Amino acid sequence: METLGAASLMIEIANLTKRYGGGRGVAALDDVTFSVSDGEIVGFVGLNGAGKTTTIRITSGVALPSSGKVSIDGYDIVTRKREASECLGWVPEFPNYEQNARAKNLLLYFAGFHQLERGVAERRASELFQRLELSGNEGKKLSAYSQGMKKRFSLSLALLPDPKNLLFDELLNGLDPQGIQFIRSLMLDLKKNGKSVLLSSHILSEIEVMSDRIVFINRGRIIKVVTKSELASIERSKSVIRMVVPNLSEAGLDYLRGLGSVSVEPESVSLSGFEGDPSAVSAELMRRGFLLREFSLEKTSLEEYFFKLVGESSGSQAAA
Amino acid sequence: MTGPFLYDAKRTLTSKTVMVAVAAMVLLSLAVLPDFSAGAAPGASGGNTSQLFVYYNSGGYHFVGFAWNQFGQPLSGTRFDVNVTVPNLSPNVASGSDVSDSSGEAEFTVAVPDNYTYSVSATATAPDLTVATSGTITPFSSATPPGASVPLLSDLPQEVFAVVTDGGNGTARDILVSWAGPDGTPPVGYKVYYKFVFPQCQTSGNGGTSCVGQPQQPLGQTNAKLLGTMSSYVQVFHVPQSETNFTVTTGVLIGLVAPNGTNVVAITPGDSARSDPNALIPVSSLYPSDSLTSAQGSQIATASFASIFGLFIPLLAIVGTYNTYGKDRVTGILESVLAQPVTRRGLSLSRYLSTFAAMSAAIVVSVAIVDLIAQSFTHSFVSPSIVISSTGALVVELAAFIGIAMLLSHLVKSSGTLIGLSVALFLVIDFFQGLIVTIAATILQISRGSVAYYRISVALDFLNPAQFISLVETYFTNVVRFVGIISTPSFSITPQDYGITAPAIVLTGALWISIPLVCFLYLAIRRD
Repeated sequence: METLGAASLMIEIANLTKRYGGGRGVAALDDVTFSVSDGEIVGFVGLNGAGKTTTIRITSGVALPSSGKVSIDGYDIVTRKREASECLGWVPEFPNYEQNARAKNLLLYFAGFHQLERGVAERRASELFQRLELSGNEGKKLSAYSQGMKKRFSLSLALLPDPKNLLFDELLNGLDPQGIQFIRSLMLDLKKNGKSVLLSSHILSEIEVMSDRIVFINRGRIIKVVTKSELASIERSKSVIRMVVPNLSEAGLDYLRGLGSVSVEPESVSLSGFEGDPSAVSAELMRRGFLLREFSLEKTSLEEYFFKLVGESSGSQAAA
Repeated sequence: MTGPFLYDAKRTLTSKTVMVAVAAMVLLSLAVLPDFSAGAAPGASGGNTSQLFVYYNSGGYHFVGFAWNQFGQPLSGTRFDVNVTVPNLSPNVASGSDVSDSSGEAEFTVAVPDNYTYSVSATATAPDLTVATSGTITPFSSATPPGASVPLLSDLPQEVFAVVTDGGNGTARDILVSWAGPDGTPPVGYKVYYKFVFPQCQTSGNGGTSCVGQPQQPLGQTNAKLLGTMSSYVQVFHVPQSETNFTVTTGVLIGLVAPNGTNVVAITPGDSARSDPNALIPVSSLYPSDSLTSAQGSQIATASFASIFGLFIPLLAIVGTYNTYGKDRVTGILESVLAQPVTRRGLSLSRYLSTFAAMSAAIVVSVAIVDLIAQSFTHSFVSPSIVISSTGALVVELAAFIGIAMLLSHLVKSSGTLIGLSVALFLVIDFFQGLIVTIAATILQISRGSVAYYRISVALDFLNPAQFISLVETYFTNVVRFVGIISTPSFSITPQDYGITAPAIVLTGALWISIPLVCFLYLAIRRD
């Protein structure tokens, strides 16, 4: 199963299970399988305790799996830890570093593990401090850093060796709008440079914007994996077109019924289940001489979709 | 793995915590000083003193005087007064005097006719010095032919070889040799020989001590070592290198030999009671802190290894390990390191070995300091076998406690629990072993002081890494100690009768190193 080097450049998580309290203990993860390809940003979505952080911690090498396997660029994170970690950067949800250490010193200490030459490490550290707006704070102790600064320091640490793969656990937490904007831009850069990114977050709107694929996890199990285009399609299929057409005739209603499910209300008409282009509907209605006073698309949000998935999953798990 | 391993090890080695622990360990070695100082070293030796030589020729009696301070440096301003009483002559007293110059020398002549036996009284006076002597001089005797210089102010021959304080080290001593050659010339080319002697001394019925075994023949090239060669009237020599088997009765024989091979002190006149031509200076005068024998020094050193080091090494190991590993482990900080390209085994071993290496080095330095202290007080180093085995035992104890402390950090979840558990462990194994022995003996209905009681105590020594050094001490000294909070009583036993053999000690040490380490590594590698 193990592959080396460039043969498989990505994060591969296969049949990952984590149990606490021994072999018959509580399963925090149950047969989790997904991957992150080169140049792909995968959103990792789940409720608190769903298993996101556990998955990321195991993937980063700081926790051990009960069974299953995680490979980073083909290197098993357990048996080839050093090689795997060379290709990986990790930003934990709650960055936890030596509080008395000075930021730059600590960064250089960690650079040593990557065998970066002192000069190279110093230059890279300066660039990262600059880029992450930590300039001027290099010599401060981490105890003097705010949570947001620690997050950015953690990000600089993850980016220091320029790894091919990155794990971001709730990276957006604690960031202000400017910080979130920075992360968006960073994600674009990472994607452009062919990095594989696994990004967990509670801010689903951002996940939706940034991710190429979204992995939904609930109670330690993957319940759905959708691509961006699939998500768009799902959203469209689950969207409702609401319109106010004063002169709508039976012929017009027949046309709409041919597109989806039509609900006629006193003031308006709703079309649901339509997966096509809403603008084509409005154009056709006007071409047929109907007067469109209002025409709006009410999309199903990712959040609604997520909760629907969670609800379905919980129901089926409970039934099982 | 080597790169990150060494990298992390280096950082641990140079961390403040480890440095503080190492410094504390080294400072602990100084705790033996009070024991060694029990026979406190004396202060500076002697004070201002002088010597006056006289030789006779047809012009009368010529006197050459020298004065020096406690460091053997020339002392100016010392006044030498001489009265020569001439029997059967009128006036029957002739006098002379002079004051020492900046080179500490004075020279004068008392003109009297020859062929008489003269009584001479001489006095040297300085602000801190008054030396007076008197006696008879018989010119033209075999001992004092014309021109032969005779020391006048001393109780020969010791004071020809005065002990003075070393100018560069107030606790060290030098030997000052003063002499005048024929016709009062400087004794250029005269050689000073020395030899350590170990006479068998016995205490007599009246409390005095008599020693035999001193060589009676004059010292010289064939039977002694050269201390140095004279080039002036007064010369200071460093004391000879000490030897390892000094006793309180050891002395240093010193002789002064003229260029023609004659032992000049041996020709001293007017001292018929002296049968020895050489000066015997007690070792205690030359090595002033020598109130301790090498055996006593060795005992103090060994006891300090077992008590001071044995007691504090667990504490230092626990504190040091908490800071280099335990704290990072229980607070989760270690994860930030573990996320780097380093294996769990590599990181764990790096922290273990670097902590162990730094503190082991501290132990070696500390033991060396104790050995040096012993040497400075007794002039002999502690037996190498004891030093090596004690160091090894302390290192075993250190390894065991580092392993245990690291193991504990994988068994608890919080810093508070880890600290509490570690301190409790330290207190129990360091201070309550005696109580445990007592409880075990009570339960087993074994009376205190019985062989079975000792067996329980020794058995617990095998089971307690803090007592491993005690096993080694017992092996070498046949003494078993019972560690308690208030006192540490000790008893003599035959170690072999209690299973304290070399193989048993080696095996126990190997187990104490390996078991905690293996358990720690297992948890570090196999468990989150």
